[in-house]
Amino acid sequence: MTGTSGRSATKTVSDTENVADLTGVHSERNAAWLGICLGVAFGICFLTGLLSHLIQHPPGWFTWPARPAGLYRVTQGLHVATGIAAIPLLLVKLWTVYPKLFHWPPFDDAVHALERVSLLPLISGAIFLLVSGTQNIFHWYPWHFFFPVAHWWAAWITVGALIVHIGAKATQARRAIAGPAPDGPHPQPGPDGSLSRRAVLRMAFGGAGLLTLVTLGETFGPLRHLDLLSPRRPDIGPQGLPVNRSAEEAGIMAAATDPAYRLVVEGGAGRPLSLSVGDLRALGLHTAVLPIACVEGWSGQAVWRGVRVRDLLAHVGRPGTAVQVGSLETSGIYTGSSLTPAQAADPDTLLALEVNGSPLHIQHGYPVRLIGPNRPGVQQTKWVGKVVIQ
Amino acid sequence: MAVGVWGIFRDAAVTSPFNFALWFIGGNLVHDFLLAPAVVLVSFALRLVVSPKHLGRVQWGLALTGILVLFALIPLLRLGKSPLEPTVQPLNYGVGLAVVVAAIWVSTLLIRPR
Repeated sequence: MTGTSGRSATKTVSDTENVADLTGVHSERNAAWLGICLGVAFGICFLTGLLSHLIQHPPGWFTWPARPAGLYRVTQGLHVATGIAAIPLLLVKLWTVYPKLFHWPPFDDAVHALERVSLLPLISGAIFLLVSGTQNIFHWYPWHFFFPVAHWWAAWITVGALIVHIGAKATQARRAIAGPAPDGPHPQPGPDGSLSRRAVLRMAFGGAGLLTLVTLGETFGPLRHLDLLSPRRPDIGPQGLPVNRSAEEAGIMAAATDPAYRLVVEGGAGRPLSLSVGDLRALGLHTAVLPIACVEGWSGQAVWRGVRVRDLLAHVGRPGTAVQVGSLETSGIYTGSSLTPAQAADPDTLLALEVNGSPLHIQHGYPVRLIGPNRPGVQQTKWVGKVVIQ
Repeated sequence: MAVGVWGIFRDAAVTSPFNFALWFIGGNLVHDFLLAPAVVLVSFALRLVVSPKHLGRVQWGLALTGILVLFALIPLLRLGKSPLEPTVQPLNYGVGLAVVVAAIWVSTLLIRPR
C-alpha cells in the first residue's frame, strides 16, 4: 500500500500515510504481526510435512525410529492443527493487505516488481495448501490430481516464495512492529465506530483459537467433546476407532472373511509357512497400548493384542531382520508397508488380532493387521495376507 | 520454487499439471475477485444500517462467523461424504456450527471493539 508509495510522495503526505499505516485496520503493523505468525505456521507445516514424507518415502540416509511411540501422532497432529489455525490468520492478513492489490502504478521499480510477482506463487500457494489440506481431511476430492503429491510439490513452491517474501519484507516488518504501539495503550475504534487495529488482530487470533478448540479433539482426546467441526472424532467408529480406508473400498471383503484364510510367511530359514489364525494365537499373544495416527491429523489410542513380529521372526529362525508386510488388498498404492529391523524388533510391534478387547472389526483389518509404535496410519497395514522377511 | 514446479511436471501422471494450475491459481482468484469484494460490499452496507455505537461488535461477530462458516462449508454441504466412510464427517455439523456461531455472538457482548 503506502509503504512503498511513500517514497514518491511529498514529505507531509508521506508522514500522514505512515501514521495511518501503523494504526489503521490495513496497517503495516498488523500485516507484520500476522505475517510473522503465518511464517511460523507455514514453517511448522512444512517441516512436519517434510518429516511425514520422509517417513513414507525414506531415502537411504533416513531411518525413522520406533520410539517414542506417539511421536508421529504429535508431529502430524501439529501439521493439521497448525494448518487449520492458519486459516483465520491468512484471511485477516489478506484483508489487511488487500488495498495493495490496487496499487497504482503496479510497479514502482524493478525491486518492487520482483517482490509483487513473487506474491502470486506465495498467495496462491498459501491458499492452495490450506484449502486442499482442508478438503483432504474431509475427504472431498473434486480435482484430477493425487492429493499427497500435489500438496507436496505445492509446498515447495510456496516455501520458495515465502523465503523470497521474508527477504523482501524483513526490514519493513521489523520497523513496523518496533517500539510501543503507535495507537497508544488504549486504541480507539475508527471514527465510524469500526474495530480498532488491535481489535482486528485480537479477532484474527481469536478465530484461530476458536477453530483450534472445535477441531483439535480429533487428535487430542481430552478435547474430543468440543469437536464441533472436526472431520473425525477419535472415539467414533467400530470398536471406538475411526476408519480411513474401508473394507468395501479396499475390495477385500471375501478374502478377509474366507474360512480358508492363511497368513503366508516367506523368507524364513525353512520353507514358506502358511499360518491360520489359530496357529498365530499359538505363538503367544501380547498387549500393546498404541495410537493409530493418520496422516490426515486424527489419532486415537487403543489396546491392541496380537503376535509380536519379533516372535514370528524368531519362530522362523530369522531374528533381527527387516520385514515387508503385504495386504490382501491388491489394488491401490497402500497395499503393504515395511518394517526396519529396529521397528520389527520392538516388543510393541504386533500382528494384531484384537483391539479394545474383541477380535478386529473387518474395518480395522480383520483377521490380522499390523500395528507398531510411531508409524503413520497408512503404514499400519490392514488385512495382512503375507509377511516377507527380507 | 523451481523444485516445486519441476516436481509437478516430473510427476505429471498423478499431478495433472493443468488441473493443478487451475486449483493453484483458482483459490487466489476466488479470494481476490469474489470473496474480498463481497466483504468490501458487506462492509459498506454495514455502515449504512448499523449505528457507529455497535459497528465494531457487529464487524467482530460477522467476520468470525464468516471465517467459521467458510471452514465448515465442506461438511455442512456434505461434500465428499460417502456411505462407504461413515467415520469421516461423522458429526452433525449444522448443530456444531450453530453452537460455535452462538458462542461468537455471545463474545461480541464481551469484547471491547478497540
